[in-house]
Amino acid sequence: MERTRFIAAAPIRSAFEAWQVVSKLLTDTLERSSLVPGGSVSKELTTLKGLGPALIAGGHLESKGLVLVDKGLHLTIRVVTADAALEVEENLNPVPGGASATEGWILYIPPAGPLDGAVATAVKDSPHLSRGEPPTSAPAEKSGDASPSIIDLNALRSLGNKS
Amino acid sequence: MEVGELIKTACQMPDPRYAKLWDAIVVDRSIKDRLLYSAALSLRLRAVLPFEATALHGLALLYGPPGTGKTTLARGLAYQLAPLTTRRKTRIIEIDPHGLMSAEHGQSQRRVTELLTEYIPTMVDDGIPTVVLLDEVESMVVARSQASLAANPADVHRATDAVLTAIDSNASACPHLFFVATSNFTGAIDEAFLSRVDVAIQVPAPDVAGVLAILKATLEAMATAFPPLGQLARSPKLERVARALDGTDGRRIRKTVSEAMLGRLDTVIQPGDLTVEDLISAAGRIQRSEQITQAKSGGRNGKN
Repeated sequence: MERTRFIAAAPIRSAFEAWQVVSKLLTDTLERSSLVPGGSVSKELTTLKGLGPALIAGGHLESKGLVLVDKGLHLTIRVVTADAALEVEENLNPVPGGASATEGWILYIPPAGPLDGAVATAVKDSPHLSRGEPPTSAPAEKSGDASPSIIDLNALRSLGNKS
Repeated sequence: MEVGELIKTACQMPDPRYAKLWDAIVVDRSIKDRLLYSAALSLRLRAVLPFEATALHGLALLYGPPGTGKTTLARGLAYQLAPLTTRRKTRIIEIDPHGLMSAEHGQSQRRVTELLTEYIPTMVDDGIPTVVLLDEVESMVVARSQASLAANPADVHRATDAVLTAIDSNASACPHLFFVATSNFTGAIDEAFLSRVDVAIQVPAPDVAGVLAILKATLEAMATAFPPLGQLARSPKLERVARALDGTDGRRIRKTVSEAMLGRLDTVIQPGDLTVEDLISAAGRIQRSEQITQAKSGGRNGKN
């Protein structure tokens, strides 16, 4: 399911503080999954420690935003400023779907004009950060990767034996 | 009020507090079977097939007169479902429907959306099959065709829209969610909500045999503290009381026993001295008060 979260930057909070909020939202969402080791997300995001606030300050996350994509997850994070920041209703709770995130999560960073070069350098060696165009929806389950059964058919059959 | 405060209950099954609820409700066996099978089938199909194939929203509606055990059945469902799941675990979440509606413009819709599409999906992100109880659902999904904008602010209409949207999105995004809505006033429920219901199950007032079973169960439960009531529970004369209470809802039938006890000071002091005659007198008083209530409401509940 596609979801969008809005984060308020100036004048509500500085670009640096807003980036911290973004980082925490990503960390809280992904690290609920048993497949994403604790501390691994914030470690990955340290690459963007200086660049993230710069992207916010330059308004590069206002219209397109960051896009987090994984199986069952398609989250756009837009950081807004000025009047929009004063009016936005923030939801900073972890995003549904995070608990089943995989090690294959990818955070797509939108085009950032003069910062593109710096972004390219930052994401170059990262398996989780990308400058590419994000997919429009969460990736579909692979064929043969059937959803685990919720109902135990043997237990269900035993209901018939009781009656 | 924070959205999280709208959650009245969130607990994981099997929880011993819920163990006896299912059996405590005396209804035709087919009603319980239909509810349990519909939940099991919904969870089974939606886990492996897309919504386009199943058209299942994961939504059951229990309707019928007040006091017939709809809410208790819904609570008991989560317990009954747990041993049928591969993880042997389920969860029940109960929403306070009245808290969802806000006097502040736009807030009802916002709360509904946040609760049903963000808060609850996050709570159930662990994949544990979850029963969400929407009790007295008519207060959440007001029939837009009957509601006037003069009497109902636009916010109420938007809140109904938000519930429908949330039900649609959860149908495919959360196949392990199963909503159980209850209502004793289905005429007030929005038609679009009713069309999303996978299974509508009527929970009627018990027949004479049902009344007798409820009376016996109530007396036997009280016999743990007042043993002579156990003998009364086995009396063949109890059927006379059951016939006198025919058409009365389950909650009222249970209250008949205490109503009978308060008819005499002796039985207030020593409830074990209760007799069939006490129960018949109490049944008469209850039937008379029911008639007065029905006359006052103009048969409003007859809309079920």
